[in-house]
Parts: sequence; C-alpha cells; structure tokens
Amino acid sequence: MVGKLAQTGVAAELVARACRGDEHAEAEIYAALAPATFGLIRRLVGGGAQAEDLFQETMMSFYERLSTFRAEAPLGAWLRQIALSKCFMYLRSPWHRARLQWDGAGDEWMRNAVDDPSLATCAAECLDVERALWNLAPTARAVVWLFEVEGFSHEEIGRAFGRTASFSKSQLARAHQRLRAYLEPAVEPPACTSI
Amino acid sequence: MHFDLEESRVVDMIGQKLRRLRTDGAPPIPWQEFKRRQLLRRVRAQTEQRRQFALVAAVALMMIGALVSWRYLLPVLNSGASDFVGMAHRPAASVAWDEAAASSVASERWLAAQPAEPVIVRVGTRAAVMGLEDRIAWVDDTLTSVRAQGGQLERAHALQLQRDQLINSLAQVRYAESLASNLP
Repeated sequence: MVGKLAQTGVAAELVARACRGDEHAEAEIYAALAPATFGLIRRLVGGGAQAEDLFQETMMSFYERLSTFRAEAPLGAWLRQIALSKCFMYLRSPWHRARLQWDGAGDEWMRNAVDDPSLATCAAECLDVERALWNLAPTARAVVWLFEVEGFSHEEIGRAFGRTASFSKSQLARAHQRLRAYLEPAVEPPACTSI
Repeated sequence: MHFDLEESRVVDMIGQKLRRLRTDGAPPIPWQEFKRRQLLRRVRAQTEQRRQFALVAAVALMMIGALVSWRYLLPVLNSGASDFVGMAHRPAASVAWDEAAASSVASERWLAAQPAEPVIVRVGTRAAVMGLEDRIAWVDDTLTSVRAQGGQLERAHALQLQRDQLINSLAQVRYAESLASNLP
C-alpha cells in the first residue's frame, strides 16, 4: 500500500528526451507528476507558501538528478523519495518546530485549506475527513498520513523524524483517537419530555 | 475483547477514509511559472555564491594586509621607538622632518602593496548630474537676459561656450552612468 505518486510511471522515451534537455518532455513529466507530488507535500507539511517552496525545491532537485534515474522503480516512486526527504528535513528542522510554537503556524494550513479549490469537488464525507485531518497537530498529521496512506512502518517513521518507533506509535494512537472523536457521528441525546 | 475489535474496526475505517482522499489536483503552479522560479532561484544561488566568494577573498586580503603590515611596518615602528631617546636630544625641526619622512616611507610601502590596476569604484552620479544641470540652468538664464539686453556679444559668446562645455560634461557623466549600469 503506497500513495498514488509512487505508482505513477512515465514512458522511458519521455524520460530519455527530458534527460537530453527537451523542455517539452520536461513539461509533460511535470504535468504527469506535479499534482500528486504537491498533494503529498501538502499532506505532510500543510498548505501555504511553505508547501510551495518545498514543491519547488523538490521539482528542481528532481530535474537536476533526472539523468541518474535508473528505472528500477516507477519514476513517481523516485520523485516521492526526493519529496519525502525534503519534507522530513523540513519537519525535523529546529526552526520549523520553534515556528510552530511561536506563531501557531499549524493553524495556517486550516486557514489555507478552507479556500482550497480542490475541495470544491469533494464529497461531504471526504470533506469531513479533510477537516478532521486539519485538526491534527502537524507532526501527528504527517505520521498518520505516512502510516495509513504511504505505507510506512513505525520504524521507518521513527527514523524519518529522528526518533524511535515508539514515538510513531504514540503519535498514531493519539491521532486515531482525535480522528475518531471527530468522525464518529454525535449521538443525539434523548428528548427530556415525551411528545 | 469486544472493545478491541471495535477499536480495530474504527481504525481500519479511518485508514480507508484517509486513503480515499484525493492526493492530486491541479499543480500548484503551471510549468512556465515553475521554470521562471527555477531560473530566479538559480540566479539567487549564484549571487549568494559570488557574495560568499567575495567575503572569503576580502578576509584573505585583510589577512595578507595584516601580515604585510606586521612584516614591513613593524620594523619601521620599532626602529622609530629605538631612536626615540636619540631624537629627544635633536632640535624640534629635525624631529618633525624625520617623522614626516618615516610617514612618507610607510605610505610609499602601502602604495606599493596596492594592486597595479586601480579597483573600480562605483559612486552615485546623482550629485554630479544635479550640479551640472543647475549650472546649465543658471547659464541659460544669464544667456537669455544678456541676449534680451542686446549688445555684450563677447559675454554672450563666452556664456555659450561655457554652456557647450557643461552640456558636454553632462553627456559624459550620463554616458559613464549608462555604461556602469550595464556592468554585471
């Protein structure tokens, strides 16, 4: 079980052309992979300018290293690794942690997400899940996404955050609790008086 | 046991819901915008690299300068200090002359240590341009009043010559300014 990006492949001939510097081929690859890449980054670090910056860095690294791609896995999986390493560097940075404490930057994602045009076509249930996800702390959100959608193990998540597997397990358990509380339908209290 | 099963079912349900979420939509920026930002970042990175190189070069130059000063200027100062006792018995005019000579020698050594080619120094031309424009305006006014009064042909001719020279100077300054702005 891995995210959609990891399963996305691109024709070898297109990659070869892009390696030779063909800008049309590069643009085609961009069109095929950029949306899922940005989706993944947005899930891990939240929305806003930071996600756009990381996306830009990821895609720049991707094109710079494209000539070293050996086609042992789909191109999307290779790009996913680059994106994840950029996101982990960001999430691990002391500056990011301090920023979250100082100005409640975690709320920024919620504010941006309210105006997210991609949610316009989202079904009601999907919208609830999105909102529940936004309500999580940034680290918990990244952990739950990596575990449930990207197929990471607790050990891998712990390593990615520079912590232990127990850190991942506790974050996930708390995230599940919060998601459950948010997603389970509220039970209507019985009427006080009989009708 | 029943609770554990229920918990596990809910966790599975949450996982399924998360996996059903959309992970792609429109790319955040179109391809052309991505290329523009890529170019911008590369230019910034190059500028930063040049700045760091300049900083390292400046520090190295300062260290070399300090080394040169220590190697050449310190003996001069030391010899000056050792001669201090002897200088105290000399007449005042002679002491002043020696100090000036020592200062001149130090200055000459410093100048010799400078690069053979002068370093390009950019200064703002705004003050020069404004000064020239003011001067031209004054000459124009004077020239108009002289012509209005009639006569004084020589004075009018001199003013006209002065005006031509000022215009020429202004053109040179502006040309230099435009050349400097095209330098990297």
